[in-house]
Amino acid sequence: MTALQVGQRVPLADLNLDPAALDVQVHCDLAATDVTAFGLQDGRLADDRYMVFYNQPASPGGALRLTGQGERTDFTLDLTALPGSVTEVVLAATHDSQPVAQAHTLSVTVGGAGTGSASFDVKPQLRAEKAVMLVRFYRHGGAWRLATVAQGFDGGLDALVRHFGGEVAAPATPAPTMPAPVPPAPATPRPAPPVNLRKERQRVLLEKAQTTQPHLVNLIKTANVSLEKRGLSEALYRVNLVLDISGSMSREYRSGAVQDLAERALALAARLDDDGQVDVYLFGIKAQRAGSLSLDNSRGFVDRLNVRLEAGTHYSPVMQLVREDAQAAGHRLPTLVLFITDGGSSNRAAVIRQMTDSSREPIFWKFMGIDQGGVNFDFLEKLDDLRGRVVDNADFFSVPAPITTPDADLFELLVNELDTWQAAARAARLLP
Amino acid sequence: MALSLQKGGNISLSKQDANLQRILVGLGWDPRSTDGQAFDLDASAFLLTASGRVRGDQDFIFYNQLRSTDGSVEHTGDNRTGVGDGDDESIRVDLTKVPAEIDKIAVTVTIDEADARRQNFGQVGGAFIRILNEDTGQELTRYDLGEDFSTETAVIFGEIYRHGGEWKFRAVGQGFVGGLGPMARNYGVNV
Repeated sequence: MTALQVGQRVPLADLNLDPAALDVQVHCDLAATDVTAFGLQDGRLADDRYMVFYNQPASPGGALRLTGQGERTDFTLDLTALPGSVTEVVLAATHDSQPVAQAHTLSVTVGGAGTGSASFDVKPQLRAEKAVMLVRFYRHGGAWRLATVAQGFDGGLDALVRHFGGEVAAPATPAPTMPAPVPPAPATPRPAPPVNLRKERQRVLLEKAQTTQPHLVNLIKTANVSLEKRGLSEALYRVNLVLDISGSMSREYRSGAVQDLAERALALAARLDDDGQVDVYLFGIKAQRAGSLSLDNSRGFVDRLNVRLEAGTHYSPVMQLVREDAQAAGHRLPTLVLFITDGGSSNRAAVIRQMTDSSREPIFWKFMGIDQGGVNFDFLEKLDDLRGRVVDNADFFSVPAPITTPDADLFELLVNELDTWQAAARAARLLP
Repeated sequence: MALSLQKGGNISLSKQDANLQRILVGLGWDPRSTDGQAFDLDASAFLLTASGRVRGDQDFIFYNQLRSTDGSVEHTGDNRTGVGDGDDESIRVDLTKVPAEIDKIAVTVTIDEADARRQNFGQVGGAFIRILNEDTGQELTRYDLGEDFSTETAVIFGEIYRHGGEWKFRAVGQGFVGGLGPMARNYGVNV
């Protein structure tokens, strides 16, 4: 094992390393540190597909692959399989809220089967960077070289992406989708949100997921991408999950699809909810509360509900229950209701009244239709566009059963319009 | 078109420009683009006799002694961060005034407080040295150091030297352990 110093530049051949089969391990004991491989063209991030991280674990053709995550992040690299336009690969460690120097260990090992190996201790070089470039592999004179870097940016991932010439999505400036009947509120300054506390809670939840339910970590991060795109990364909501227990849902419960959806709701709550919990409701003919879903009890949560399917679908009673609980909570926070059903409701007039009345409340209804085939979602489509409301307080989408929608797409659908509702609700003074 | 040199390469300045009298040695590097202490690079020149050593401390031209006593070599001052286009530091040499006993002028660059700041040349990008005819502004030759150093904290960028009645330039690109002090001592300066 060759110990590399900072600033060193060395041909891979000199280290007896094979550019076609490199195993790279990044050791970092600071929870919630992300390690990303950036394939760059002359220092610029020219093609996002060569940015390999938890949300995109392989580049086209698999030349760069993320193969393991945790205290040790593993990559396998075949530099020879990269297109000529990728002139270098930079590995970077980033943290959302803390300097990476908080880690006791941060080091990189480069090796391969039957080859030499080299290591680089990054930790002693660190200052206050929340994003730090660790090592880079680069083309030089027809061969690949390795350079140790250990430099970065206190501003974190955004600053690093800017350094690579990339664009960082600015928080969306949402526009209301329909004119609010109430005159817009004057632009009075709102008290600054408790940003640090918020980030701290999110961090704690993510760390908890990492230690107790690692399979949720990527879901939380994926959910966060969709929220950040809409400028909602600092938003606070109560998150409710409303589950249809009509007989036709039987297959979805048996297949685990409902459990999967519950975990996705929990991932959203880990970002949006101040205590990271999801209040769960069931409805068929009647409505019932089904407790709170959290990181502590999410494993097997739906199985433990012992759901007894009912022979009918009535939205109104459960909507009433959700509204009552939001009222009882003092509407301290707005409520995001994830309403999952596989069919239309009986007593539609009552449902329309619930929708219209609740448009004066800080509640956003997100209806997700599971399309078993042959089910008519016209009624839900109509709810989405219902007139006579103070603000447009609902969105509907459907996915075919069995649900195979990729998580990144599903989260997009789940939070779509939440930003525009929030802006409209503020304008209508439903929200501070 | 100025001729680019590789490490170890040399070129006759006199042949490039028969009327050459005064040259400007330009040195440059990319400023630090990441957060942290800037790279403060210092250029120096050593007037050396055929023995490869200075005649005395007056032959060491650096940020604290900007002119040689005979006026042949003049350092134009320190640039602390590398910000700005073109040359970051430059040294003027009036070849007609260089004393006959001076055989060679070595141009070096060192990183200030490299050890304390944990910096070395491997972290510095875009380093070059170029020679211009100061009277015409024409670039005679250029050497991009690129990959030619790594963890060193002092580097001899190039040498201007006499060769059979001509002035030549050699792209040296050789790293030196220890920084400016040991480098100066190596050339016989009392520091």
